[in-house]
Amino acid sequence: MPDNEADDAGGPGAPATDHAPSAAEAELLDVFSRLAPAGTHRWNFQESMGRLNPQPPPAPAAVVPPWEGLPPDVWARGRSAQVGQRMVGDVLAAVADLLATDARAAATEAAGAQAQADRQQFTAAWDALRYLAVRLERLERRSDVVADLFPDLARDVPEADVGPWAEHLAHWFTPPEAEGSVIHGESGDGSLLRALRALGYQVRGIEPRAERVWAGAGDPTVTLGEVTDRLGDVADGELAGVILSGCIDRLDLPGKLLLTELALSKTTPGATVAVLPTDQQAFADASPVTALDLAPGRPLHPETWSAVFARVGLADVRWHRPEGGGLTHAVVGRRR
Amino acid sequence: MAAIHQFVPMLHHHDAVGEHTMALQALLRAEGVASKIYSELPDPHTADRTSPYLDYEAEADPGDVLVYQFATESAMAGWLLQRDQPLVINYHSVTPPRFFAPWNLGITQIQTACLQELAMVAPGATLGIAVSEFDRAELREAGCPSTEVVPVLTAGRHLPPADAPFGRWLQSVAGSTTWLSVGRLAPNKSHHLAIAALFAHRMATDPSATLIVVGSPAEPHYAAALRHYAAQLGLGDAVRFLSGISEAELAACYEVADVLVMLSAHEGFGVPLVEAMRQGVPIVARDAGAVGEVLGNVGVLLASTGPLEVATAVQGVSGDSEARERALAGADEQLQRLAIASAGKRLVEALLAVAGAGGQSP
Repeated sequence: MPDNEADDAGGPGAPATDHAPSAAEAELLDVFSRLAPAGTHRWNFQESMGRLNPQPPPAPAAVVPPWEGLPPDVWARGRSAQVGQRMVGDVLAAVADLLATDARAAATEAAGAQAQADRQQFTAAWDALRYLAVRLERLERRSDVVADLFPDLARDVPEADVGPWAEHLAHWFTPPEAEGSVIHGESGDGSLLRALRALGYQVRGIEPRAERVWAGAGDPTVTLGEVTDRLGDVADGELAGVILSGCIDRLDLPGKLLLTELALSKTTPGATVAVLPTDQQAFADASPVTALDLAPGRPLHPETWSAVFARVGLADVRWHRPEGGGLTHAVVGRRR
Repeated sequence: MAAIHQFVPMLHHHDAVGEHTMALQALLRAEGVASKIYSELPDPHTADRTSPYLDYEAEADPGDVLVYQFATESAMAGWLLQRDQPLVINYHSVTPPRFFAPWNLGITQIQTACLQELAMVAPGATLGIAVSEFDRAELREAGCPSTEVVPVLTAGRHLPPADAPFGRWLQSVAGSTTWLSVGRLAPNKSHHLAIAALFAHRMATDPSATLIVVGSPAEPHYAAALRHYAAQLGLGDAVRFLSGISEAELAACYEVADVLVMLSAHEGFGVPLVEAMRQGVPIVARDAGAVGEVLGNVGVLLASTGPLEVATAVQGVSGDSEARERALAGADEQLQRLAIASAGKRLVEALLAVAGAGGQSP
C-alpha cells in the first residue's frame, strides 16, 4: 500500500484515519463501521442462500439480442465486472449440463429408496428455508415502513426526564465494589451516568442520538447506537445493573419485552434492572399528535412494567412514583 | 499504416473508461489510423460500436497495435497476452480488494483476480500508460517494463451550462454551506467520512450545512449504509444522494456547492478535482492516491480525515469570498500543469510511437 493511502473501507476493525481522532469522533466513525454487512444475520443468510441457489441477475427491461453464439441471457449476467462465466465457459457449461443431466438420470435410477428419501428431506428443508426467508422479508418490511417514511420520528417524542432519579440510584444497586458495570440506555445528557460514577460505580451509556453523544464532550463510555443492538453486544451475565429509559417509551410492545429480557440476560444474579417510563399523560401532552399516531409505541403504565418484571422472574419489584415535579416513574427489580 | 485497436471488457456510455475509449478511437481515426473497439461482452447501447474480441483473430494484421483498457477482470487479459502484436496497457487503476472485503465478497474476489491479471499481463506489455504517477507506480510494481503518464481523456471534457431548474431545486434545499462529494458509492470513496465531518461541522459551527453526494451505488451495501448512517446521525434531510444525473445537472451541483470534499482512500486520478477547479469550487481533499499530484498546491490537502479536522478545513475555505479565492489560487496554473488539454495528442503519439517502432518500446 502506498504511504499516502490510508485504509478505511469503513468495515469493522479498519482504522479510520492516520491520526487518532477524539473519543467523540471515534465513536461517530465506529457507528458506520458497525453498518458493514459482513457478519450480520441478514448478510450471512443472504450469502448462504445465494450459494445454495445461485440465480442469474434479473433481465433488464429492454435488451438487444446478443451476438450469435453467445447464450441468450448474456446481457442479464450484467456488467463485465460481474462476469464469472464467459463465452467459452458457457459452451462448456452447456455440454457439462447435458452430461450431468444424463448422469443424474442414471444415478437416480441406480439409487435406492434411501437416497430418494434423503433427497426428499433435503428438498423439504430447502423449501422451509425459502419460506422462512419470505416470512422474514415480510416482517422486516413491516417493521421498516414507518421508519422509512418518518426517519426522524424518534426525535419528535419527548425525551425521558430521568434526572430526578439520580439521587436514588445508590439505594437501587448493589454496592459499587461488586464486579461488573452498570449500563444506562438511553443515557441522554449523561446525568445518571455522572451520578452513578460519582458513587463509585463503573458505568457505560448507550445513546442513539448522535448529537447527544457529541454534546457529552466525547465521554468514551458512551456508545452511539440503538440500545437493543448495543446491549446485545454485551456478554451474558456481565452487568451489575441495567437502567432503561427513553427507548422503552418509544419501542413497540414486542420490542419493550425483548429489551427487558435482553437486559435480564446480560446481568449477574442479584443485579438490578430498572426502567424509567415516562408518565403516559405527560408523554401525550408533550408529544406532537403525528408522533403519537405514528410512533411504534408509547410508555407503558408502571403497573404494567411491574407485572412484566414479575413475569420475567425479577424479585423485589418496586414502583416509585415521580418526585419533585419529575415526569418519569421508576420500576426496579432484582435478578434472582 | 498500422491499425491501433482497443480492447475493453464492456463499452459503456457515461462511464470513465468507456468514454475514454471512444474518445481515443475518434482521435486515432482523425489521424487516419484504422481503429476498432473489441469487447468481451456487448452493451446494448454501444453494441454497434464494438466487435466480439474473438473476431479479431480472423482480422489480425501483424503490424497492428493492441491497446487494452485495463480497469477490471476480463478473459481478454490472458488472450491478449498470447497475441503476436504489441500490447499496450492503458491502466485505469484497480481499487484494492481490501476496501470491499467488509462489504461485498463477490467484488472482493473480482478485484483480487483483477490484480492477479495485472501482474500477469503487465510484464508482457510493450508499453503501459497510466493516468497518473500514482497509477504508474502500480504498473511498475506489476512488472510493466516501460511506462508513461497521460491523464484520462474524460478529464478534458468541459461540463455544459448548468441545468437551471435543477439548480433552483438544489438551491431550495441547500443550507447555509453546501458541501459536495462526487464519486461512485463505493467503500474506497469514503463518502461516510464526509457525512461524519458534516455532522461535526453542524455541531460545532454551522447547524444548517448540507451535503450533496453525487454517485451511482456501485456497491449496494455501502450505498445503503451511507443512507442509514445519515439517518442515524439525524442528517436525513441534510444529506442528498443523487445518482444518474446529467452533466448539466452535475454542473448545477458544482454551481450551488461551496466546497468539494473528496476523502477517497484510493483514487487513480480524481476527475471531480479537475471539474471543481474548472468550476471555481474550493476543494478539501484527502492526500491519498493520485489526489496530491492532481491538486498540486490548490485547495486543502489533508493528511488525516478526523471529522473535526475536515470540518475545520471546510470552514477555512468556505467562510467568505476571500477564503474561497485563497483556496482557488493557482487552480488555472495547475490545470495547465496537468496538460489535460493535450492528453489526447500525447496518447496518440505514444501509440503511434509503438506502432512505428515495430512493437518495441519507443
